[in-house]
Amino acid sequence: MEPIFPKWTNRIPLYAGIGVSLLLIAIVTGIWYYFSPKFLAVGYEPVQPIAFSHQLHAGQMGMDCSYCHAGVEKGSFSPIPAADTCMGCHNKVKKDSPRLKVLRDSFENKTPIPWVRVHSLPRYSHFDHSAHLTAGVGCVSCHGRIDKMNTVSMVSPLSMGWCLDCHRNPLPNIRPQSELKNMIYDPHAEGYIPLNDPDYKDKLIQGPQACGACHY
Amino acid sequence: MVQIKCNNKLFSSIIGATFLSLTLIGCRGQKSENPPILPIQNMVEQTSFGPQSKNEFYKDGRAYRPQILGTVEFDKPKTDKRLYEGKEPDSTEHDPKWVKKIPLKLSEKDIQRGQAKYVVFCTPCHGYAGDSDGLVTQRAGGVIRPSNIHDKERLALPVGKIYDAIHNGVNNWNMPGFASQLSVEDKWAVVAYVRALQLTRRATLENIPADIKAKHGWSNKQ
Ligand code: HEC
Ligand code: HEC
Ligand code: HEC
Ligand code: HEC
Ligand code: HEC
Ligand code: HEC
Repeated sequence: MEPIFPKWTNRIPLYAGIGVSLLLIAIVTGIWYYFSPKFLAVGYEPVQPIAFSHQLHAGQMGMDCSYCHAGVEKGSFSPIPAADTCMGCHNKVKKDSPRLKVLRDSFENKTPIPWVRVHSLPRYSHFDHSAHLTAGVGCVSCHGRIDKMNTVSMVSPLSMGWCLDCHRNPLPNIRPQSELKNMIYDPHAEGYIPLNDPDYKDKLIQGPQACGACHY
Repeated sequence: MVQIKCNNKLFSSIIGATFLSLTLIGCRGQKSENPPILPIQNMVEQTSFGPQSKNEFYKDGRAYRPQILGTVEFDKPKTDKRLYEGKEPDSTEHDPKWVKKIPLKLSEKDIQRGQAKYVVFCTPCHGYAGDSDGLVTQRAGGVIRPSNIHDKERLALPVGKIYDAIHNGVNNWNMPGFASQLSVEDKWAVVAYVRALQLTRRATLENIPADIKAKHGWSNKQ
């Protein structure tokens, strides 16, 4: 009698077994890899309304971050400078440059410059700059080499895992209070040991891991 | 026959998937102008507003409202003209009488804080030592001409005028003011540091306290 199914169908269970498990592995790795903020968030570099360059201002001209982001040591957020701050120089420097037209308009009409936000946490999580700076975490640990960026881009995933990775073992990221805004200083290369620093000596530097610290 | 074909297809799709993921792996951390994708959107956007966030309700889109003109700060009223404006109480708008003495008690630590603030806010233009050779001044190629802190007129400035320069700026924003960036104590600390800088070129042996002179073996004779 002619068999109903051809002979090769005997192997279907085998193929299915291999195929389904491969597919499962592929889906899991795919989600683990592609759905991670390391893939989806890092590298975000929006076009800004003014071609402002940190590489020129903070890098080449060595301006301190606090000149523009004044108050970051004291407050939870880091202020983006007002047009007045820029106009302290640009009412003289490159006064008529077309690249600064948005700035001049904003200054004259007292309207905000429509900067595009680069770093932004979801509204259910809270972050405080001053707490991290007093604990000795420098800008470069989270924002990367801003002084080399013509346009600011995101170098950290800003995910919960990233926050907790550091909170579990913050010591390698701690630097002296005087070097917080120094982009080149490397505590490792300098052989810096936070526990010997009088600023941190009697403090327990430990990031919180309780949910309520960040979600409230 | 069927088997081979099937294998071929399987084989090529495996190769295809490998290539696809390899190319996508290369995209990790790549620069992109598209905002980050959050696969789960629960409560990412909420109706509350944070600092520097947008609120379309207002015409200018700012969620944080600018201060209304004439707003008075809670806490102590800032009526002490000496402290907050660097002027004597009897000075008028057109005839400012600058204070000659810093109206705060400052310790060595305050002067160090003044130095830190000077380095942040003043060095770009005035340079570390006050010689108007800051990196911004050099780069600007002559459009920014800060006064030299060590020249004769600047030495003669009363502290109140230096405070006013830091607070309100000079000459119609030719030098910007730093009223919103620095607190009153910080501003006076910077004033003290500017005075200290001026002293570095003017000090004579008489200015050095006797005990320090003795410690280093410096004497007035020699
Ligand atoms: C001359 C003024 C100036 C200086 C100095 C400066 N910044 Fe900025 N910074 C800005 C402006 C304006 C923006 C907003 C436009 C943009 O994102 O490029 C900004 C944006 C940023 C952002 C991105 C904010 C966002 O939207 O998420 C970071 C991070 C940042 N600055 C860090 C730094 C650090 C670190 C330094 C010191 C090395 C520094 N800045 C020095 C003016 C300045
Ligand atoms: C301390 C002085 C200073 C401040 C404050 C400052 N800049 Fe500049 N900026 C300069 C100098 C100097 C140059 C370089 C001009 C040159 O290349 O000759 C420059 C160049 C630029 C340029 C390039 C202009 C062109 O036509 O090539 C842009 C854009 C710019 N700045 C934007 C800004 C913005 C936006 C801010 C405020 C967040 C700001 N700057 C604050 C000093 C300053
Ligand atoms: C521990 C990591 C960390 C350090 C250190 C850090 N930042 Fe941030 N920064 C963040 C995060 C996270 C955000 C996003 C905050 C949000 O969306 O609420 C952010 C946002 C910003 C912004 C955008 C405006 C805002 O506050 O939302 C600026 C500007 C900025 N940082 C500048 C700085 C500067 C300048 C320093 C150093 C003095 C610094 N940051 C140090 C993590 C850090
Ligand atoms: C590079 C290291 C590092 C990263 C990244 C980091 N933190 Fe922290 N964080 C610290 C340290 C260190 C402390 C401890 C502060 C102390 O001991 O006072 C801290 C403290 C805190 C606190 C407690 C503040 C307080 O008032 O005591 C909060 C909240 C917090 N972090 C939130 C976050 C969030 C949210 C993120 C991610 C977006 C983050 N941190 C990423 C190092 C880090
Ligand atoms: C150090 C700060 C911090 C702590 C502590 C923390 N979280 Fe988070 N959490 C975050 C941040 C930041 C995000 C946003 C991540 C993102 O944008 O990808 C987040 C996101 C989440 C989300 C949403 C994930 C999603 O994609 O929808 C949940 C759920 C959550 N956290 C639960 C918890 C729980 C439960 C705990 C306590 C065990 C906790 N978190 C402790 C910082 C923290
Ligand atoms: C953007 C560059 C710039 C910065 C930053 C700057 N200055 Fe000036 N400064 C100037 C210029 C330009 C003048 C000359 C103003 C004039 O005479 O028109 C000046 C003048 C002065 C004077 C003399 C005022 C007078 O009445 O003769 C003093 C004192 C002074 N600056 C102190 C400071 C201090 C202290 C800081 C830091 C808080 C500072 N400056 C930051 C550019 C700057």
